Amino acid sequence: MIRLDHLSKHFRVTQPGCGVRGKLRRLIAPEHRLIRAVDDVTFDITPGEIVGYLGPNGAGKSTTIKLLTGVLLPTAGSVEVNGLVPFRQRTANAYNIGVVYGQRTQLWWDLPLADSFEVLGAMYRLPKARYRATLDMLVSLLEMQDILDQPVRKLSLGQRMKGDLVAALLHEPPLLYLDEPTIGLDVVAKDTVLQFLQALNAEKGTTILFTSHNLSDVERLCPRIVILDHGKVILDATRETILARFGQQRRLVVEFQGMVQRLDVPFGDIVQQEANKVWIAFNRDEVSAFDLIGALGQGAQAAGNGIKDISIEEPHIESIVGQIYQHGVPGAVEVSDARIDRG
Amino acid sequence: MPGSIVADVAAGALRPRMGRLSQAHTLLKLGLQTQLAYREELVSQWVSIAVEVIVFRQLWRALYGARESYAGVTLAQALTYITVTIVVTRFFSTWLVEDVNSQIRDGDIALALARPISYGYSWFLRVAGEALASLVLVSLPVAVVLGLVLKLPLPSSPVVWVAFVGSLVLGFLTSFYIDYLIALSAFWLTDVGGFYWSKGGIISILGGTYLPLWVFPPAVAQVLLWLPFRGICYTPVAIFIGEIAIGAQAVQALGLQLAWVLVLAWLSRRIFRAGVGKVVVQGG
Repeated sequence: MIRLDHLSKHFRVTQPGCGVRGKLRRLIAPEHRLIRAVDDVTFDITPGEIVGYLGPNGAGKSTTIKLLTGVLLPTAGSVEVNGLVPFRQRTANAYNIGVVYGQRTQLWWDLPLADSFEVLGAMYRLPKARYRATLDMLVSLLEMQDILDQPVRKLSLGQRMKGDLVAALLHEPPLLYLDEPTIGLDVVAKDTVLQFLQALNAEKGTTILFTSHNLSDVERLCPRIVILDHGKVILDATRETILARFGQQRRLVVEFQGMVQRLDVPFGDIVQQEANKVWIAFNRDEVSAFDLIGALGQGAQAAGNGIKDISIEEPHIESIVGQIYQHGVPGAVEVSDARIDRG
Repeated sequence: MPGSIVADVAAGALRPRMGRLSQAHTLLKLGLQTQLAYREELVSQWVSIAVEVIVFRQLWRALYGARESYAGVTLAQALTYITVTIVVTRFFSTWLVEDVNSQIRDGDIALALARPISYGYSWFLRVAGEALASLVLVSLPVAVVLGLVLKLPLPSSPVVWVAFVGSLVLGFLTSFYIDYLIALSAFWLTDVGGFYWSKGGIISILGGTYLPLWVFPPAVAQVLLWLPFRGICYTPVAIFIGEIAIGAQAVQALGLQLAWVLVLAWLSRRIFRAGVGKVVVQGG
């Protein structure tokens, strides 16, 4: 379905100088810097797969999607989508793919949703009957009958995201690219989107590439996860492998009423300590947060200190990437060429 | 065919579209709707045209003073010229430059390029829809009222009307391509705002919009006559008032308009390719 073979995209960026003198100097002798946005990336996606494409901001996720839509020309390597070369057959490729960008909308600001859909349907010259049937199906799946006559500018972010999903799927593409689709969504909206994508994949067999910088979004939806950093694939593994290694690692942040001198933690490790705040890393499988908090509360009371506030931090992709660089990944299906040198 | 848009229109007319949503029809409708979204402004648009017409007519009366005619153009013709010009300019003006410019600057063009429709053609249809809406809602009603109230002398020959409408269509295409070309410069310049502001002034002077070409010194007028800008508004309105006579003169004027449309279409296609090529290769 999708085949990336040693795909690279490098940009030459002109460095603006600093200050008036620097700027003038650069005007005469421009200085360039090479950015390896996507660097020797190889992986395949088979039809019907849902793949999570995970990486910190600037890792090259969006560039990959632009290469897949044919908007960018690869610097090296090759890319093939459903048998087509996207940058050469951009129009033909357009019929095969749907794209949703979390931070951009493809809907028209002043138009009611229904009209935006019609314009998009027309761009693909869809048969009217087919268009109606698809639209009805999508609208009822996403429960958005009530907002179809609303102009996009009056929609909430969650409603707009539903609209963008419909817009990307009207021409029934076998492939869907989602670029940070859950960004800024609340829990309920996120839930609807994830459930919808699951249903779409199950019923229509749509292949999905789901981009995010958030592990917890990806873990629910994607049986396979590809982690990207600095343009390189640093891990391509099943969800189970990744969660077993990183997903259980959570942090409990405890804020005490008074200063903390010495603290005995029965489980987990103290990873950071500041004045009256303590960060404790613990493994979800070994101890429940509830037990940990209970033990901490007793200890604090005995020492004449009380607990003021508690929160739990989910694992960040940054910390996971950091851990991969430090320790590698035991049991990973495949670490791309195992070349884990930064920059 | 040099102009991609011309080719697209032709192809769209030939392609079978039974039972399918039509690109042209729907995008024209989109332009119409975009205009209708601002229908609260209709009254203020009518009023502003009326005020502009009154002011410019008074100005021309004062300029003519006791004269019967100037450079072979009578006061009555000049008054009709300025009235029609104001009405026409109104529905020619669109948001194309801002819209395309911001799409290129903000990178939304990546979305537009992933659609199975040519970029220029989709914008042309939208802008045409906007112009159509503005013609029906603003220009036509105002023109009818002004024509009745001011007792504007109208051409009696149907040939003049046909030539006028044909020239108007070519004028619209010229205006579209010039705007589109300015907008495309955003591929190289970060902001074309300044460019855009000067464009209005330059075109209305070089194109003989408010100061018709016959008032320029003959040497200057001779140069301006060959530039594309006069094709936007001057040519159709001059045909309307009879300053460009039906016959060889009108054929030459229409031919020049058509030639410029083709040249601009070819140019915009080349520039679009170069610009997209830059984005595609360089990114950003």
